[in-house]
Amino acid sequence: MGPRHPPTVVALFVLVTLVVTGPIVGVDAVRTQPTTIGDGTASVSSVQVPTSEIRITDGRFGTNVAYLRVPDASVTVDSVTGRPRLLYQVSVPALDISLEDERVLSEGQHGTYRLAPGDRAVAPASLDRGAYRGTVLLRVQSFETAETIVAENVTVRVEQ
Amino acid sequence: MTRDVEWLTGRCRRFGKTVFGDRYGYALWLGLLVTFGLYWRIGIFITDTYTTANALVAVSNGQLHITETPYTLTLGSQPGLHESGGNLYGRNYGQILLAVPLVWVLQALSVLITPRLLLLGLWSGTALLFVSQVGELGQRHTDTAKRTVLGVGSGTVAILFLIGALTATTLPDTGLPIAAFQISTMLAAATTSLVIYRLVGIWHDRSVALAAGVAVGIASSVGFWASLPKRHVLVGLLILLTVYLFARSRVAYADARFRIGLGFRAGAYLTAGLVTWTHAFEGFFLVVTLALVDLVTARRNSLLHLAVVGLGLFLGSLPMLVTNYLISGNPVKPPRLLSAVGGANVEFTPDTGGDGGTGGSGSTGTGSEGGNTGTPVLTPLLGLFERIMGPAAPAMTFVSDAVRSGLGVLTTPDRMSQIFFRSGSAPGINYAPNSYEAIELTMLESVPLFGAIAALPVVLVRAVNHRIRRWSVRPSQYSPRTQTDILVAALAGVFTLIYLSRLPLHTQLTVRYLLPTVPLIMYGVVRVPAVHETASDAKRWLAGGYAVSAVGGVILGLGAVAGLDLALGEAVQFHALLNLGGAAVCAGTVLGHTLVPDRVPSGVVALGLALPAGLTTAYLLLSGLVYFQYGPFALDFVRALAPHLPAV
Repeated sequence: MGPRHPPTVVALFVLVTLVVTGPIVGVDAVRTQPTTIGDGTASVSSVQVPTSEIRITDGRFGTNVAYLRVPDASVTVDSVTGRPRLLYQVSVPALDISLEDERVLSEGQHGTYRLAPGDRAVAPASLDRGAYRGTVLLRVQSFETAETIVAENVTVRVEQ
Repeated sequence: MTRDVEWLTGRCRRFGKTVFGDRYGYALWLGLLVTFGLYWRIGIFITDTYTTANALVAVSNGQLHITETPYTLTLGSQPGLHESGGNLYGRNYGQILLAVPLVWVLQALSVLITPRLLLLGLWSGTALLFVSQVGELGQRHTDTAKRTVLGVGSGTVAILFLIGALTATTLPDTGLPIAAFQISTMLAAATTSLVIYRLVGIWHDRSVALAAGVAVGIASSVGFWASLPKRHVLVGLLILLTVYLFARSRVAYADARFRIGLGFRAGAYLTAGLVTWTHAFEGFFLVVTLALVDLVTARRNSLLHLAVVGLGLFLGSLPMLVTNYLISGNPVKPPRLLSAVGGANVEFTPDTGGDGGTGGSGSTGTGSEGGNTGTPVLTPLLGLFERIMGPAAPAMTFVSDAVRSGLGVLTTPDRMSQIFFRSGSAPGINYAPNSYEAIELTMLESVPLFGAIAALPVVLVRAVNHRIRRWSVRPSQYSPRTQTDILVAALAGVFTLIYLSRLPLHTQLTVRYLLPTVPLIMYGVVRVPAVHETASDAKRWLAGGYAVSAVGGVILGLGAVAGLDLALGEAVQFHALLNLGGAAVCAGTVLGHTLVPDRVPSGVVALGLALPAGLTTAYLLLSGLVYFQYGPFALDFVRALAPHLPAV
């Protein structure tokens, strides 16, 4: 258990790092990122939302329900100021369904982000039509701005 | 000075030996905690936890009743909230009080260390302890140099710590109490594995015991609930600990070491009594079952021994009696018997004359519970007696009802199949509260290793045959192992039976009401000769097969989610079918080896056990990492990895 015992060395390193960056000593080497929305905005250079893939199909593997299938959106962000968020929302009002996924960005981030609201199970009894009207929204939001990147009406087919 | 240090190390070593048994037990315990941390999300998964988490905050602030609600917007609509004397109370105070010291420790440390990094630091520290134990053990069993293991292991932890620290996100202050609550459950889950390691280690060799420990920890539904602070893991731990102490007492009695035996025996009753602190009725069934088996099998039932045992039980129940007295003024009236508030979910509790509200989200369709809706008919002479008997009479009706309706379910194959074999979309479950997702697995789907139970009838028939030939031997002269087997069988039976009439039900996920029986049934699986002989003879096949199966299961699960674009319910049912396949293989090989040992070699049985075990581990990991996204990951290096995984 001498000082050259690797776990002890790492443990000391961890302990020192934690205390030095802690509230009392407060060295600003490690800053925890907030995960909530703030001010600012982001510039989006390209968006991929395969809206034609939004549909209702039967569940598999014995689930015995129908699913509203929502494809992932892929958003390329060039620059970010402050702490805005990307919001991707798909809703089918007649079925009382609204699915969304968000991503809070922080200053200086850029790159391509995937937004995956997932699929939603639909009560089997509530499907009485062959198609439903739906809306797709993709926005950049913060306390300062709300910019709509995509707003589209779609027809959601029930494929059984 | 040096002598003091030596004395202290000596004491620590002795304490470690008492608790963990040996270095293997310690490594098992640490390894499980490290693993649970990887798929730990901070947050509330099941609505019942809102009440217990709020009660935890209240208790850590020094009061039993709830005034502040850091985890809910409004007070009064959470399931499991009870009212007494104008104050609102939670329930499961035993479980809550276990977590209170952890809340204090975390809050104290957070003065010095940023909360998020504190959790990362605790995980890193545990991982480093694990690495140093593995380094020591690796040297014993493999050619790998201790320095290599220590270097690589510590290096990995250092890198993960750095990634976590550099990508750290803020954890709000309200995150700490719920994190402490989750840590207490993880400790209970890891300790459950440790106890089964020690229990099995009394009868079998170390590799069998270790395999049993790993199986309970990360190849059963105990691992699923490890970071979800429900009572079931804790109750399961206390039941198993009762069995362990019982076993030690039988061993000591058989060696004519009566004083030690009596100590362990009283310890078993004390542990059983403690369950009442978390759930009075589960405690009741545990104590009664224990007492029946214990009195029949004990080699000595003198008045003195019975008095000591009674004292153990009283001491174990004392915290519950005190808590009840402080809350309701009646020591035998637990919170679950008080008036329920709002959408109360008082599952498995008698209806005391309009006092407790049933209905609400958790207990729809449980009309069979507690028949007595009027005030108790008893008119006792003394006021105190009346207050004690008030809850007692309907409680007794409830107890007999639970057993009777449980027996009724045994004769309905459809329902039994939905609880134990195949869920799919079970007609008996109301899926609306799950957003129609078919996420409720059956016992076999959640613990496919239980496929090995297929061999149990054969084993039992052989055992009974053997016993009939020596029928004159009285139960008190049975071997300690047989006596323990009888207790485990009785407890598994009772704790299944009393919940049957409430199942199948939604928000069970892995039939969580039956979770306390999982370590018991796993013990039963290990006691099948084909299983423990395999774990002893073919340990390399078992370990290798398990690793391949777990990695394969994760890849298969992720591949299915990405390739087939699975939704949550579909992914869960995909695993259910996969696990059933594993269970079938397990059942086939274990039964085959039991019937024709020459035709089915132990290597094949090892693979038959490894396959379902690995698939279960894969499901546990993916359920936390991918499927159930109820909160942010506790460790930021996991959060940084998660966006690269496919999502449901």
